Amino acid sequence: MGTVVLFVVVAAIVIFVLVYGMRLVGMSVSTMKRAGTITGALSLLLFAVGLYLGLVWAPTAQIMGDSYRIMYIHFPSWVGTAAGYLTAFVASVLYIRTRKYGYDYVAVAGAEIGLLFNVVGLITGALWGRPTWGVYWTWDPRLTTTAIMAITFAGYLVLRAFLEDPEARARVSSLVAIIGFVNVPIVYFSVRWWRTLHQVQSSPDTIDPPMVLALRVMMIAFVVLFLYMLTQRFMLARLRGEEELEAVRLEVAGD
Amino acid sequence: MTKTGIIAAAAGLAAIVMVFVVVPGMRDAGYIIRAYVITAVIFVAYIWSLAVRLDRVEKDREARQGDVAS
Repeated sequence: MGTVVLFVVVAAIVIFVLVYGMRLVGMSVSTMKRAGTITGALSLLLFAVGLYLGLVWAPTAQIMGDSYRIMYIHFPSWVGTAAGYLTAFVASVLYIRTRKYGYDYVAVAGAEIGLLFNVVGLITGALWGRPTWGVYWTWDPRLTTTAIMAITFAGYLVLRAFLEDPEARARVSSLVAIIGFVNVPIVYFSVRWWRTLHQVQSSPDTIDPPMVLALRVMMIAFVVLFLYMLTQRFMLARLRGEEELEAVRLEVAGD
Repeated sequence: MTKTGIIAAAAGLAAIVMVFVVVPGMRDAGYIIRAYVITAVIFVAYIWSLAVRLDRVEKDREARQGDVAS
């Protein structure tokens, strides 16, 4: 029963993130600024509560000791990574279908923030790996696929920087984001398909309730922080995009 | 410097102070501290950079609109 409820809640959060991300396209700047203020303030509050719960209130783990507390930033960073890449994927599909630049701006915002969380996940994972596995890095399938995912989306951002024509950039990078997203489910299932060093996903039923509560608060804090960053980054991409399209229009008119 | 950047930096600093107050007595404290501090620095640096870039683009836009109006 607990797992079903958790699945429904996670699905609802994923749908909310996607709907919010895609609705940014039609939002006015003043509405985005208001949304940015709300999500920013809410994430600060949630981080304050989450850090207290994770570092002070939650008990020490029986076997792992205190190093498990890295989990409170390591696991939520993968939630942010998945949210970012999923947003980039859906926005890219919508761009290919509609050719609306707004979706391209959402895609670049999602990819950039997804990569940011991806890097945080890799660093915190390495720092957790050293006291538990004895190494910072090993070519475990989960770690390797995650690194490939980061390199793919870093490549996506580099590619965008090289393409000057807005239409070609949006089209080509959309295809890269769609193909790059294929790796996301592979990363998720890698721990089940190839059992090596990285553990499989834990169930909340096997974790002490205070630890679960602290983790959930931190996960919500990361999701809200993701929404804040997405709003700000989208606003930046849109303002720059409008400026660029205006310059192209003036150039064409000048010819 | 922007208001958003300053708030993010203050919040990041508060989180780092909290980590340095709470964590040192724990087992493997060095790894926990490094993980939290690096995460805080990455988030603050990104939010700061976003706020600066956004502020610059908005100011350029306002300046251009002012030029067109005059």
